[in-house]
Amino acid sequence: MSDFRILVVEDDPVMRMLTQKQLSILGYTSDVVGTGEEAVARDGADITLIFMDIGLPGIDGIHATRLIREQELKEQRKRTPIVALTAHSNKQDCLLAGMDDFLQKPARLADIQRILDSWLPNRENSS
Amino acid sequence: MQTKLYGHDVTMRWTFFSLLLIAGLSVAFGSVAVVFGWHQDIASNWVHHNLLVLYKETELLSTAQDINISTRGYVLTKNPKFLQQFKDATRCLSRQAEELTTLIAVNPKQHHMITAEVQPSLQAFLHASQELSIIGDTDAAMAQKAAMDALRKGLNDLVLEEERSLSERQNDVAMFTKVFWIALVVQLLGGCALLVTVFRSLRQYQTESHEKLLQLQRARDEAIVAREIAEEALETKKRFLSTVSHEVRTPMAGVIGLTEILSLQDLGTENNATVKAAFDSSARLLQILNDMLEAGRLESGKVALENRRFPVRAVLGDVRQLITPDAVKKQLSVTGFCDDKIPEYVSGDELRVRQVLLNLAFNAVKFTDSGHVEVSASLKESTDEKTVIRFFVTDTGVGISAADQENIFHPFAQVLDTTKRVQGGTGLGLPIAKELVQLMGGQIGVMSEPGSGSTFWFEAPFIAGNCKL
Repeated sequence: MSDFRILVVEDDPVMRMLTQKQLSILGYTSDVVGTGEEAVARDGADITLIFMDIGLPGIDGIHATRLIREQELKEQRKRTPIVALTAHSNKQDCLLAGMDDFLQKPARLADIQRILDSWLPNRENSS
Repeated sequence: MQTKLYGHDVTMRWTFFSLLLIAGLSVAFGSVAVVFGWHQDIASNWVHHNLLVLYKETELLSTAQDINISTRGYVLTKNPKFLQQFKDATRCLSRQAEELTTLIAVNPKQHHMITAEVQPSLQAFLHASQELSIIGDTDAAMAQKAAMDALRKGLNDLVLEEERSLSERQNDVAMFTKVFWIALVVQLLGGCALLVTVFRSLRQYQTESHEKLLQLQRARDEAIVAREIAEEALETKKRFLSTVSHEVRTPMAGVIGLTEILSLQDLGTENNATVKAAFDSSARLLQILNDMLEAGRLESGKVALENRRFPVRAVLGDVRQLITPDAVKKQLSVTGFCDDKIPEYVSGDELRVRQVLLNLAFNAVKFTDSGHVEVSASLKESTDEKTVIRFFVTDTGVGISAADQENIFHPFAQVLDTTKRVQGGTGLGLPIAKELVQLMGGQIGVMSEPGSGSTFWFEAPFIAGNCKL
């Protein structure tokens, strides 16, 4: 399980702490960045899944997602699952921008586990 | 504004009425003028006739005089000129007498006089004159004179009669003329009055119409402004609700998430209880927030119902299952049935049916201390177009007073007595349930008596969908 590296994009310090704690309890390591720009920069082959907040300073989560997708296309990388983790409720906009799933805050442990079960590659298939 | 419009109508009616009156009088007096003018014309003609007759009578008398003179002259001088004069005058007299008779024929009285008296006198006179011209003695002269006197008398009577008639007719003419002129003047005055009234009321109507138009425009402008204000207020409310809910969610998420994590750890019995309480509290807070948002969404009409097949019995079973843990803790039994006649699947919004049912079921458990909670469904009505299902949750709890039953479906309603049943709710749970049920096209209600439990029910139409699509 520690093979998986999850990127959390969140500007609120309390939420950052919470999400990292939640992931740690479920047994995953995570990196944290605070802005969309940093998320685009940090994304790479080693990131297994991204939890993306929408309300960010600078470019918002939706914009950042689009940039990441472009980048993946350019670098010919496999598509990283991006899950919105936000207080907003416009699921449609998120999916249209290129996100794969949607979690509304507050997310409980059970919800996070469900998402991870859906989107993390199976242990058998991990490269 | 009401009075103004009313005044407008009254003016119109008054104007119309007075116009009608004046027009009527105008026509009346006009007719009188015409009629009397015509009569005056006729009467004038008669007067003319009278004068003509009088002239002819004078002429006749004058001719008789000529006869008189000529016969006397002939007798005295035996001049044949006088005889010729006599003969001419005789012929003239006869002719004139005939003319006069013809002329007079139209007046019966005069005609009688002329035929009865004058004609004979005339003949007698002519005869006497003739005799005189032949015999020429004093007797004959006397006889002629006598005949002349008789003729004169007859003619005088005729003349008097004619003059009387003339006078009468002249009075008539005067009368007719007077009436004619009066009627004409009155009618002209009436015509002027008519024109003035028409002119003035047109002016007044125009002014009032203009005023009415201005009023309507002002009212419309006010209405537009009022609507803009209302729309803006609504927008502000929506934005406020949206902003607040989003602003609140993040710290809420923090509290819920962190207390959840804490609750997973063993911090000692007392701390565990404290953390559990904190967690429950935050969960409730979140519920309230969600309810508020849902209520706001329902109000702005953003909620659209699903229409998909779902298994009715499974939903009932799920709800019973979800309330069982809490029920068991209070030693309540959970029961229920589903009417056989309800098809296995129906089409509708499963999520919302579930939401309402859960709301009612959790409430039932919360306010029942002993006995049972029943979650059931029965078939109310089944036609080709729809299947109406009645869901109900019955409990053996504290019950609800009639007064509170009035209020519990209203948002944040004041509680009238202290049964605390409604106080325990979010304030929005039942109102939201009602909105959702109504959105489905159904009805919701409660039957209860304090001390003997309650049955919350809701009915909604679904589409029967037995065959798997």
